[in-house]
Amino acid sequence: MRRILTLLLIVVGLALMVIGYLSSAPWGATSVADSNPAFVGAPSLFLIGVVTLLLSALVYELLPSRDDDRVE
Amino acid sequence: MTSDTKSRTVLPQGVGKFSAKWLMFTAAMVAVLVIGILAYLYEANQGMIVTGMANTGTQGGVTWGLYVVMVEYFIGVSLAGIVLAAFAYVFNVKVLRPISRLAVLLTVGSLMVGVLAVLIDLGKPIRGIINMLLYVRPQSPFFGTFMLVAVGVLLTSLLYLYLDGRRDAAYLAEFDSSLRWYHRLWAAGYSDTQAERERHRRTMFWLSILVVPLVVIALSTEGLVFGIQVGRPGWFGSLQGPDFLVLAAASGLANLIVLTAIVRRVLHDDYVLIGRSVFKWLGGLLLAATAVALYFQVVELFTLLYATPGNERLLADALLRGPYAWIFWLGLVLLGLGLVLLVLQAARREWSVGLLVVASVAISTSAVAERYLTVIPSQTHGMLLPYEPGSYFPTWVEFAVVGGLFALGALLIGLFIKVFPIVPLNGADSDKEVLVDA
Repeated sequence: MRRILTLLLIVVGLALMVIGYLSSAPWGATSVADSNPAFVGAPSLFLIGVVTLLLSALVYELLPSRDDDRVE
Repeated sequence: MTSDTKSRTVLPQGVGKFSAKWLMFTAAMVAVLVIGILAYLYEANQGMIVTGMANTGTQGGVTWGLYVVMVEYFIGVSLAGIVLAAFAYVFNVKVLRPISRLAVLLTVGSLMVGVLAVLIDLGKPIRGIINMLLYVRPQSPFFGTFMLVAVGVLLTSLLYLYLDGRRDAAYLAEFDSSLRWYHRLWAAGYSDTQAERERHRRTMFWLSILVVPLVVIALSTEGLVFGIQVGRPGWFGSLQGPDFLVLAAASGLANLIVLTAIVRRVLHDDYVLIGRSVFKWLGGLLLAATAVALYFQVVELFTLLYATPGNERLLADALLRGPYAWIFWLGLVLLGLGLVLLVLQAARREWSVGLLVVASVAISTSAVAERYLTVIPSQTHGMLLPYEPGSYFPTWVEFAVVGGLFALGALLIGLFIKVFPIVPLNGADSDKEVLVDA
């Protein structure tokens, strides 16, 4: 469960970063006046992606697993 | 972690003990911080007119003043801490382990005040943040700078600090102290099993691997904010990115050395917790970074002196013998002085903490001067349009706000030292730690 959730967060985070990055660019713009991102708010997606990706580390460490019962 | 609850109440490294000296320091920093906040509120109420800034060209001023200088400085200082901690972790450099937490704390503190300095520079910070989230483009260096610095590197550093401290937190949670709830919260159920240790090792390794390119990209784009501005003599150039990184490494290491020396003093540590070899390592690294930084400065100097074209000539004159000459030469002399002190110690193979601190202060001051010269003169004397040269001097409001930022950073570090061991313990073996009464 822990590994699946961690992998999921990594994949979702990376996907959001890529989508956010690419859709922040003003594709097809021909003038400076038309220089807004392809989707307004796309930079936020990139940001959420970075946060999601990094939170995977927290989930990986904090979520308990069955192995934790074996005290050394 | 051992299962028996510690009957002792005295936490290691003076944690939880708020001495009179510490309270005085905190009161002083709070006072400076309050003055800074009041100055900012005054600025927010009256507008940017109360600062020394004005429009470039038409008003003969600068739109990026002391706040942006300090952004560059603080963000630069933040580089060394996290990179050093990551380096120590990946390559298992045990000698640097005692200062890894302090290094990351320096990164977190300087990044926080750096980001705050950016927000303070914006007349309307909220509007700036909202517009950045809605409209910032990946072609802009600000995308890399703010997205990666403000969120990526800061969050990674906080994660690093938190996860690396869980083991110590779990150990401290066994003490019967007033901070027990806090240490329990930090430990978040950590019980030091083999599986947990292995997971932690893996997480820290990958975080360390991730943070280095993140920092390099973030800080290079910080340099590119200036480097890609073709219409501003003195800024445009391919060296801005690497120059920013190198000076960031030097100033960051210098600050870390000063901070390490202060922590050693506060803990009354006679090279038990923080060994002499730590200073030897830091001194060597600072020597290398300073030598490269000086090389960049000399290259820049020769470029200015030799066949400077058109508008660059005006800027070169302002820097070398004009209104900025004293800052330029003072910065260069301080950097040279720092380097000489480091070389002498390296040659004798004896590193004195006192001399290291003197060299570090000289290098750090030189870094502030260099950041000032990067940001300001190109705006007052680096114009392609036929405007008269301008001038800029920060007002008391800017000095008070910047003082407040320094105080906030110092408070963050000072408070942390009193609620958590700044030198990592050895987990269950920390009974062997020297308990110092700070």
